[in-house]
Amino acid sequence: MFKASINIDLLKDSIAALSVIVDEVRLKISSDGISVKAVDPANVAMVVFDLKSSAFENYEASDVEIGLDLIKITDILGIVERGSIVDLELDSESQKLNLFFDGLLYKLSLLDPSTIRADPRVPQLDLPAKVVLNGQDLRRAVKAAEKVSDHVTLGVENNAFYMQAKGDTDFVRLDMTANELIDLDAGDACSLFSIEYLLDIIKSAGKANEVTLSIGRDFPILIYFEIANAGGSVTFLLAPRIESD
Amino acid sequence: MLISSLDIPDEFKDFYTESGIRELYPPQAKAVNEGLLKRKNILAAIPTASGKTLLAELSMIKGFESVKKSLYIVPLRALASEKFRRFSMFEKYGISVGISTGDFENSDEHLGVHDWIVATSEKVDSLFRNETTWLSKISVVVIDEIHLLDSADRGPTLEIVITKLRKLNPDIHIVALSATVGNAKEVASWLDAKLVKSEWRPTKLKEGIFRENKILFKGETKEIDMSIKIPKKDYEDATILAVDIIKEGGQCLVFDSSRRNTMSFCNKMAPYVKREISNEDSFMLNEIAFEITEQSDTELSTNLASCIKSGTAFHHAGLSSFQREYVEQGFLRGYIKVIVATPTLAAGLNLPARRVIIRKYKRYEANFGMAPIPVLDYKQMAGRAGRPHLDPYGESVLLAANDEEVEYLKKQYINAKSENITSKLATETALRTHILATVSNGFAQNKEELLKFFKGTFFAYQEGMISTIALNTIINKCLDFLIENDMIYIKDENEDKNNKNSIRNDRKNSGINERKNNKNSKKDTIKDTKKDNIAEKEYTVKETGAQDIGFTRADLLYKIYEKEETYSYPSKSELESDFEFESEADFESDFKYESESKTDFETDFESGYEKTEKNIFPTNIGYLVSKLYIDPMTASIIIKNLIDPFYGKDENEIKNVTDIGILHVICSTPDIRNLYMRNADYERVQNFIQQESDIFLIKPDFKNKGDYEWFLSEVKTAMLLSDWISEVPEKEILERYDVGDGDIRTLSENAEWIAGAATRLATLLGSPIAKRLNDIQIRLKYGASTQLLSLLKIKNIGRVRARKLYNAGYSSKEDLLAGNPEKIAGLIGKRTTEKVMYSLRKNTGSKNYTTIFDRGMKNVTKSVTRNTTKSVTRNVTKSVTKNVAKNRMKRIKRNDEQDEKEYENEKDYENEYENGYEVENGIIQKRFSDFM
Repeated sequence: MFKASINIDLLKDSIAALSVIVDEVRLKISSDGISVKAVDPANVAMVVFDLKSSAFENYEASDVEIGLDLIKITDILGIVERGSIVDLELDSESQKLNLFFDGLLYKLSLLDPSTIRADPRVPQLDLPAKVVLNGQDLRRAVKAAEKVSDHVTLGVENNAFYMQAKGDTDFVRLDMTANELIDLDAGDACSLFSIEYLLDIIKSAGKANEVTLSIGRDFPILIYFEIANAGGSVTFLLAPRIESD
Repeated sequence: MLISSLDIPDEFKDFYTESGIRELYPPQAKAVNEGLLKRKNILAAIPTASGKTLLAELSMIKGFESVKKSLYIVPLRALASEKFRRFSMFEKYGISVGISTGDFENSDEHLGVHDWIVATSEKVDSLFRNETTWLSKISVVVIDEIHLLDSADRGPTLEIVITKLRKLNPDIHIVALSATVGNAKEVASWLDAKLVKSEWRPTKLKEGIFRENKILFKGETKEIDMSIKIPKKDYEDATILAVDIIKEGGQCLVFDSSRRNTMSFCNKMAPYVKREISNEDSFMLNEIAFEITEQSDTELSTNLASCIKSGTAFHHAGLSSFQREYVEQGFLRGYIKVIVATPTLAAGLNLPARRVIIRKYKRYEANFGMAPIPVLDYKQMAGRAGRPHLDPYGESVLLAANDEEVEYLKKQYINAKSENITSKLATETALRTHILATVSNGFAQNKEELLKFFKGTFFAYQEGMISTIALNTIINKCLDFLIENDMIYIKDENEDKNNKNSIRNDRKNSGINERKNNKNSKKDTIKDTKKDNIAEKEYTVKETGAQDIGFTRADLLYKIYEKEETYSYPSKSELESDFEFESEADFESDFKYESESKTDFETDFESGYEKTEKNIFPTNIGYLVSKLYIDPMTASIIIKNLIDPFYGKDENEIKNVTDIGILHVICSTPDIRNLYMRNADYERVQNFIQQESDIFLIKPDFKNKGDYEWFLSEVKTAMLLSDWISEVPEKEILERYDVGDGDIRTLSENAEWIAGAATRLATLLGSPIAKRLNDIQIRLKYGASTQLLSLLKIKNIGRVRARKLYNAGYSSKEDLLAGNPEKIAGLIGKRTTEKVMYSLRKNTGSKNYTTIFDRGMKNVTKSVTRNTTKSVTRNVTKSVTKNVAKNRMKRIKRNDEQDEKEYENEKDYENEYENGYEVENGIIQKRFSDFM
């Protein structure tokens, strides 16, 4: 059983965060809220998503798992007016999710969850450095790196967070000292990441006021932020690239 | 005997100790005692899973210690990669490991840098023919599954390869691994090897027979719980036995007699196995099934997926390599509980299970009907029972319907000794190709040497005195054939050897006449091949054609292959229109090599001989045929039917030849294994032949029933190939011809190989049809019309997408680059467009793609451009997850995409995940699994 109402912007943001990693998800619905764990097919990027029941306007649910086609629902949500409330109800008989908004009823057929890749195991990471910064700053850093290269180094050095990217000809570097950051736990951190994944991730993370990055040396990065006034959270994990020769 | 007491470098001892091997198994210890580490030849005839690989490794490590190269010969490609993966674990000790599979007619010179090289016996043979220099440096050779000497298909090649290796390096250290065969001793003494024979196994094997409700083992019986409810129509003893072992926590292998049987039985048992599957396993099984349907949604694939969901799977040669990989991995990891397989699996892969059920001990043998399988095969299947260290024991079970059968099976199999293996070398089919190769590569310079060479084979060893006479007769016959087909030239003793030119002129002038005279004698010499009649008939056509051939043709024909003379091929660009499909390096190195390094090789070879007079020479044709690794009969059929008739013909006449005509000639060669005719096929194929009787370059002989039957199956195969190159969707082909997913690929690859060989022959002989043949070759490779070739060259574009693009007016990468991405996306989908455009821009070196290409579209290029560097991380098993899954379409609308998916996915897989890792400009993308 699942019946809930939610603000469209929050719903869109949530779907957008998941779409960064996969096209289809298994939503685990319980009385406490909705959670998702998904990894991209290349096993390079992962998302851990939680939305508590308190983030919804109304929420009633028992344990159930549904399979959602994100492309399709993104498409549908595009026609919802900003600020509307969307009523969601699961019709478990016909395996459809009924969406009701602005006087419109949309019956979205669901995917068989067993045909969607199972939840990944989330690696237990002990990452030495922690950087908290504004989402906009992170976006700027990644966008700058994109101008010159396909990958970017993120790290902590001399009590400052830095981004650095080397292209065939050009080079960019951004340093942010503790003053410019919201918070910094310095530690040995320097890892290389694919820009393309980061570009996708900042689309979602860039909107957040506070984004927490946990970084290690040649280790995956953890990008954490809250949504819906702490009513939910999104964590992206991205595996590093390593210079081979 | 402890590992630590062995005479090998310490780091290797540590390696084994760390991986949990402290002590040698008794048969291994025996081999060491017999001098394995002292370069004594060893034949280890021991059961599967009793540690043969370790023996191989020890001998190769020993070789490595004294800087010697080792060669590991396997019977199957799949095994080659399995071994390669295993041996790559030694790379950290500085051993460099190489694998040689893939195309014949390539000397793979670059592999010479490796210390250990893994290859199939066919590949080694072809390396010999291409005069690969490093072969003479091989000083340790391990021959896996040497009992395959007994196989009519592969035995002769294996035998020749061993003989050549020994000839080349008389001190070579041979380690041969074998199943237990009756006459292991004989094989051992052929190899001058110590025999290590043992029945010892790390896991106990109990062989039994199931009757009513008990398995009767030697000295004990095991009662089986028969309470599982199965409706009568579904009832099978094997189902009961399989479910029983799963309940006990084991896995089960079922061997069945035919592909069809494996599939039907697998489906039949599926619901009963499913009940025993835990939720967790079920989860993974659904995953595997999903991935399989994702690859292709042919009937076979859907069927396999539905079986897998229930924890069962079938396994046979009709599966594509993906499907096989999934099934094997799924079984090894314990998700799949039962595999129902054809006996090929027994010979090939290492997939042990606690219980092995041999459901049918008879199988269909051509010309014999249903015949009981040999004991050797039975032992191989039974030997798959029991996973070392994992299962407490292994059981193999035969099924008996009554008490008489129980007695019969006991006598026939359980208490029987394996048969002796016998050489299958002494047939014309086997020998003509090897004689040509032996002569071409200078292993023999005259008939005496030829005979002497073949006396080194297992056949000669086994047959003793009789072999001389037999060999002599067959060699003569083969030489006659080769001479008649201008592949070998024998210089007469009375000819003046100082006047080569005049000899050649004599030959040239007499050549055509001789052929006429030979017409009658021919009938006597080659009789036992199915092609003979055809060849005979075509002869008349040829006689008239011979005049047109004129000087050039004859000149080429009788030219003796001489290394100091280089002959030139038409430039490659002429042949391959606007795109290079074969890598340039391959093509060129081939010829450079002839002039540069051949000398070394020949000296190496020849130094082993006392100089005797050379009077057998390969001709240009012969030399090429040997290098191409085709049966001389194939070459002869191609020359007679595809090349000779078109001399001096202009392009239009060649255009008029139909694809199917050419394909049929290709299918009529002995190197192509044709499809069987099924009852349902007769009407269609016969109608086709009647309607299109003009198009065949080889005409059917309606009178001879046996030949006509052959003809029908050749035509059927040609029809399939013709559909393939005319872009008929794969799914339709599969249904029309009732073949498996893997069959199209196997067939088209084979036909491509022959078409390629035909192209080379036509080029050598200066025939105008060369270009057309090359065209067919490329189309066979890509399964598409030549119009699409320049599109197919682009990554991520398969035959279906290419057709869509072409029809919309995009016929080259330039068109695509100039085109409107939006429109292109409308044809082939947004994601693909992005990938394609991205890689196109990378290739063309234009850097400003961001400006042309809109932002929004760029971000899905995550998985593009992998300049896979071979040197990176080899030891990672192939990851099954691919970026395909990201492309999961709305499943409701999947049909229109399915065909290209099949094709694309394969491409993705090969190109981007070769070593299990994505690599771009020397930077590796790590995965989460690396951090767990």
